[in-house]
Amino acid sequence: MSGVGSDEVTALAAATRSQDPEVGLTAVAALRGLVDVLEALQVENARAKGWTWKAIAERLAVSKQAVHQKYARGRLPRIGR
Amino acid sequence: MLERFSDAAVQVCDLAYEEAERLRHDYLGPEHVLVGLARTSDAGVDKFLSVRGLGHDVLRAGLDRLVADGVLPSPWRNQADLLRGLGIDIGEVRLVVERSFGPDAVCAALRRTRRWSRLRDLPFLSGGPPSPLEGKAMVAKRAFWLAEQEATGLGQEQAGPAHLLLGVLRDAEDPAGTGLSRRARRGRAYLGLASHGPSPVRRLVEGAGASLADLRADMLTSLHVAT
Repeated sequence: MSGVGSDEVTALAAATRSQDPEVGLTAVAALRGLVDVLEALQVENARAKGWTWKAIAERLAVSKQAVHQKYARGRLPRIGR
Repeated sequence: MLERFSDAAVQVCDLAYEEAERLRHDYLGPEHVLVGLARTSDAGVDKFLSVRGLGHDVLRAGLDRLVADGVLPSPWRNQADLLRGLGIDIGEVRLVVERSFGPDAVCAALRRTRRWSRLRDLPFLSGGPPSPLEGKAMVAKRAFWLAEQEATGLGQEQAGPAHLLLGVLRDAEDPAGTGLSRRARRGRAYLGLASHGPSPVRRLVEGAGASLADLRADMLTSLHVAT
């Protein structure tokens, strides 16, 4: 929807602001929001394909307890009862 | 969330979405809905607003001023643009992910990453910052909910643009961030929105020389005349 002109402006703004911590940190948070969803998606898929928590944890380079705690069913609905 | 909205009210939301896009905002707020309302001819809402000094271009200029004053987020906060700055095309990522897992799986993963909130049953924005993979954060949720309450109060099955306006005005009476959890306030802060002080809609309306209470009273009168 946005034209080439606005893209150029964006690119220019990004270049001039790349040193600004506010922009850099906000971008990192956006990236984290993306990674969190991708991780959830991949873990869900691996579990559906019968992968063990241990195997998933190895691929994610974290402990099996960490993945289990984050993604095992039954954890989420506990809050707010 | 919009089940009880009339077609015209849904159309207002589309116009509001357009306004949020224009400002590169990652959320849909009551201030965008107000601009959407100023563009709908349904039930003469646009006329109602413009004769009270809240025409479409006045509101638009008002929004631009609020962005310049730092009350509303600057365009650089747009997540898609920030990620593009890092060389990531979020549209492309979404396409690839949905192609391999299906849109439903992406929705499920988004829900999963949104931690459950104690306030999840309350009609307010919950959860932390929005993921760039989902649509805009629904900051206008409370205004929508209030619009449905207004419709119910007036004995209407569906909420139309007039009720939407009443909901937006009612929401604007409270300070920004009213009724939100700490996490949701953090979400707002990430978006670049304050969780204190007068609501952006109040600033817009009063900046144009109108008053929330008068608008509400006038709208209610015109609704009673119409029925």
